[in-house]
Amino acid sequence: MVLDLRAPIALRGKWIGMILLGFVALAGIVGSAAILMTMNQRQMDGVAHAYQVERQVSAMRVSLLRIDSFRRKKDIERRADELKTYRTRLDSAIASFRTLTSDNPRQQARVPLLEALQAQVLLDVGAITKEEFGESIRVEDPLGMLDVLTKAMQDEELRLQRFRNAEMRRIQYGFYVVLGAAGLLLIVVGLLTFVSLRRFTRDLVNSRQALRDANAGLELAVQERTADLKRANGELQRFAYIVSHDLRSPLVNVMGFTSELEIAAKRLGEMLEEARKTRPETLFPGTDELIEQDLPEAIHFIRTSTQKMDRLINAILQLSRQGSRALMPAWLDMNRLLADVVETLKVRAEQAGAQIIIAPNQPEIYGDRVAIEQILSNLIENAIKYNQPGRPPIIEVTGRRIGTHAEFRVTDNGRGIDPGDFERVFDLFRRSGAQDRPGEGIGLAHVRAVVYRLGGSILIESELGVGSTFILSIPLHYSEEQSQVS
Amino acid sequence: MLAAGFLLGACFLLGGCLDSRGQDDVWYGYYYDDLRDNAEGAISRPYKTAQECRIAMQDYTMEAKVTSGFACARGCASARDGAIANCREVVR
Amino acid sequence: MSNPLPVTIIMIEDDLGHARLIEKNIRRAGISNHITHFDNGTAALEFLFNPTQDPARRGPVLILLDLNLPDMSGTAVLARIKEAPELHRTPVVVLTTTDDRVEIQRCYDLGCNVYITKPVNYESFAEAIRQLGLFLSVIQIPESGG
Repeated sequence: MVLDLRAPIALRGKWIGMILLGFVALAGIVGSAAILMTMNQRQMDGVAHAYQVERQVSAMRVSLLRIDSFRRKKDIERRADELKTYRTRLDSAIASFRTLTSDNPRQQARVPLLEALQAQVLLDVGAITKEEFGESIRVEDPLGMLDVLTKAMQDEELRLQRFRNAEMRRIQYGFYVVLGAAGLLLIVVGLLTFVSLRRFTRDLVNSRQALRDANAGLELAVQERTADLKRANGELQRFAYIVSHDLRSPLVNVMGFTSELEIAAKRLGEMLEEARKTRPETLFPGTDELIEQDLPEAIHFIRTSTQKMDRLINAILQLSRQGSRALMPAWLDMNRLLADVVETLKVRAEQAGAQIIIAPNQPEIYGDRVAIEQILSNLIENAIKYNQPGRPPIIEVTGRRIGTHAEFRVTDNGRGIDPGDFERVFDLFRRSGAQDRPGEGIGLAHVRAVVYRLGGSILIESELGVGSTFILSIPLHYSEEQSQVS
Repeated sequence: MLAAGFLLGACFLLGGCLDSRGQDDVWYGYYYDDLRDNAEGAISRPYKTAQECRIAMQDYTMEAKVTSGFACARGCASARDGAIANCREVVR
Repeated sequence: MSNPLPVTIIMIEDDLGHARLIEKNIRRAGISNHITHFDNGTAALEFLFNPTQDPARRGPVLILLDLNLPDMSGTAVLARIKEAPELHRTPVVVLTTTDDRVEIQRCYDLGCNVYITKPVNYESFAEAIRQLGLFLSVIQIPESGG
């Protein structure tokens, strides 16, 4: 099952694009609104501006007409102040007009004509002299001209107003278009986002489902394998158990009837003794030998063999039981555990004159106490048992963490193991070296079975006549899945 | 692709809203034959400075009638219907 | 109770050799009670539950039971005996090669009275049988069905 995990990443890129597009649309709306506001403001300014211009034009016209009414000389003299006021008003109106229409070349172009009109009227009423009039242009019918001119000026402002309105409408139209486009964009982005989000979610759900399926398949396969192994293991254990029991049953008979034979032989011996005393002539030659030597010898061999067989069967039984025992993992302080193990072996160690050194700072592990005790106790016991003749055993146990495992080394100065036997010693009923110590070859087989069950491993480093090191590696944290079915 | 298209459209529309002003640095002479009405004025060739424009325009209007007039301006929005307004600077 | 009925020993044991050895040792221990031998569980249960047999005539019984039987498991036989109201007080001595703790516990849970592991070591086996003889002489065997 191949899972395409890139698809959601590509989708994420698209997604960011969508969000950006959404922001662009929003910015468009905001920007358009801002521009519209500015335009609006300008229009309002324009209205105010036109109104002002109109006022100034009116003021100019009124002032000029008033000045024109000062036709008589005595009027000028009598109402000099009034004339002065109108002149000032006219001047300021023209100045204002100039300023207000400073962006319009046509209105500006009219200013000289206005000034000429002003000068003409002032000359006509006699407010200024010919000298003061100077080079100014002469205007015929200044009042008629004034009427036409002011009307043209007002028309111009009106026309500009219309033009401004048209411009505003164009801008508004543009704004609405932008607004519409942005709205559309938002809708499209929203739709696309929705669609891609749905697709993304669907893909996610699909891939998660696929992953779950794959996991389920894997888990199922593992479960099947584990079940198979457990079944095989269970069958093996049952087999061992049944075999050992059914082997024992005839053995009981062999032993029992051997004993009966022994009793019978003893009776025969007594009878032989009796016959020797009372009627030795009736005895066949060789009868004594048969009864006193051959019979007990045969019985002895049968007995020792059956005893040995019983021990072997017991060993198989013990191994099969070990495999079916439920492990109960717990946190173990290995310093204490090792001290306890040494304590149980104290008597044997003293008898052998052995010295057992437990290194400090043993790693703490989570595992089955009984199993680990059995392993270490077996290893230390072996180290005591298989010493180099004439050399008191010195045994050292060290422990350290290596990754997820704890490594324990049981080192002795014993007789050592032939490198060719490194594998053999772990087999059931197999031993190495001189067979001068008691034992059935069960201990290490048992140790290895237990170590495997804990998910660990065991190795030997050894040199003949120098000593051996058993290197035990077990997981720091026991878990059922990790343990090998042994 | 779609996004780029939209972006371009938005920019175009926004651009349309902005004032399209003429060339700022160049002066034009605006001549009006009769200031008593609002007929379309004549526009001169461009000048580098306002001074150049004025001298040229004054020469041009020397023999003209009283109701004619002119102004030099730059940065004007050339409006529709022949109206010239909203110039950045107008001199006489 | 001054003149109790003689106790019959019912031995359910499929291995003839074992049966012979058990009998020999019982006799050697000085127990002369009648021993009825069955080599399978079905026949033994048939005998024990046969209603035509008069329990009073048969007298009180002690059962020696092997756990490995060819036709059914010894524990099943034990369960049947201890379930039956007329037999549940009958002493049952379980004799087997098993020394499995779980199985021993199961036998006691089912109500067996004594559990003897058949040792390969003949001396200890004989000793166990002798103890059984002692057990036989001490226990009060109830009237069958009582």
